Amino acid sequence: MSADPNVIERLRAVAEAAEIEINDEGLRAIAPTVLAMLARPSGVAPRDLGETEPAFGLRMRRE
Amino acid sequence: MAGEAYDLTIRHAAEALRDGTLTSVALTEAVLRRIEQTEPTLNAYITVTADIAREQAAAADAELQAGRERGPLQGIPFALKDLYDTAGIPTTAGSSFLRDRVPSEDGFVTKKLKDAGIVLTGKLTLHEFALGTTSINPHYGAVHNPWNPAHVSGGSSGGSGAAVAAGSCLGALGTDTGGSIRIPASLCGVVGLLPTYGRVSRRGVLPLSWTLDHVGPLSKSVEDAAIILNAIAGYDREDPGSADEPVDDYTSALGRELRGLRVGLPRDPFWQACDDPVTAACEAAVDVLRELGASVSEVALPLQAATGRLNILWAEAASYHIDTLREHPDGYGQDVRTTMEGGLAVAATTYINDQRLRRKLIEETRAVLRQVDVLVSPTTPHTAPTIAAGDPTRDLARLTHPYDVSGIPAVSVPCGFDGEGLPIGLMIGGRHFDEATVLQVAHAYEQATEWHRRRPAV
Repeated sequence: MSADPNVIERLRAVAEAAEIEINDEGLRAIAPTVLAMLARPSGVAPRDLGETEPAFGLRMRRE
Repeated sequence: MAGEAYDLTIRHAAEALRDGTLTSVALTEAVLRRIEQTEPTLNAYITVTADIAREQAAAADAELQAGRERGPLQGIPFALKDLYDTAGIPTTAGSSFLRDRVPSEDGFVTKKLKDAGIVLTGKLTLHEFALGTTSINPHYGAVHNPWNPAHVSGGSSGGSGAAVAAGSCLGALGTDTGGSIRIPASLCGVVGLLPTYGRVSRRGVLPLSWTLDHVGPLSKSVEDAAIILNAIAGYDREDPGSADEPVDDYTSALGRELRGLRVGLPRDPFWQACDDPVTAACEAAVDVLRELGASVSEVALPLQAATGRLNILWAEAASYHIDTLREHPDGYGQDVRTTMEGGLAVAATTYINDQRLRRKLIEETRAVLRQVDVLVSPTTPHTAPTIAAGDPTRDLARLTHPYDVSGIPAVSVPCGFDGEGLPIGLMIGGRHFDEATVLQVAHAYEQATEWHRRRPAV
């Protein structure tokens, strides 16, 4: 799917609309990523500005 | 009691509160007058909580008279960076979005400090969302340096540095993700302590970057920093980064001699590209450590220069702000918006590989700290830039950020002044959870010199 000429053609149109220079090889390289992002446009986790519960962290240890 | 009460260290004020030469009410009134006097110049506070402070001071005096002892912070005027949740008191993070945000609960360390009996004088100005090193805040105004108001106080805990230096509180908390405690401490001529990552809970503190955020004190003396750390250190099972490690008495090693102690100088990269007055002051400080009996050698930390190219902070910050950033980008200051938008562009694979590299950086630091007991370098490569000079964020944090990445403790202690009378800081880093040795070295240096006795003329 990501190598479909129609997909590449439309990605080229997007790049031209944004005035970004990119060749076909570059378009074929990014196509799988773009399609994956379209399939999952955003996460589902709540993201409230002002949340002060630490989300995650590292574990340090004493030597 | 000689001098102004607001100029006292926490240790000396605690003694005066107990020997009857001072009351918390009198001390608090002196500090509140000092705030009124200095705020038009400094802008260190976003919110002054004078009424709360007066109530808490009266309560502290009553408790001390009744013999109810809470420790050396009891009755001490103290302020918090406006990133710490305080029940019933606005906590803005220096942001336009959160101007009216009033938490319903205290954060973990806010509670600990209240239990220790502090008198809360207010919430301190910071760089917007703690993302920057100047504390030039487009929504609440710039914090000015007490040594020269034309210069920045550093950041992001700029209000904390300025307020402690000026005596508009006796101690304060900041946060440090790339250097935000140590940079203002260095630029304002006070002590700033970065504890080991996980030593102090971040619950109830607005995050910038979960795997880099640290909570710690700014104070007039090394002993005061140890006193504050004693009050706030400890495990919190609700903070995923909190360490379930024994808590030391951080004042216990103060006063021990340095004979036999091994000091490492990480010339590459921590002493490179610093201004001449900074290098000269820090070299002189190393001579003092040598005279105190420490052995000094050069050590290599070549991987640490890569810290400046890591994307961890930007990616984590952008993930927290992503919705607001997309929906209301104009609500951010230009510098913070630009940095955050850069964070949005960091690929997940880049972020993960940066965390993998981080593990190597931590191992390199650990290996060197098996050869020496502490690492000594300048805190910042320059003294405070002017407010007009703009935002030199990356360069001001160049020497401090590596220790956030490694998660080791580090303290900045005053070690001199440049030709314009602006303070210079010496940074001392140590092993994970060995704050006691870091503070021991800083205290020995401090007591052998006079820099910490100077006060700005603001």
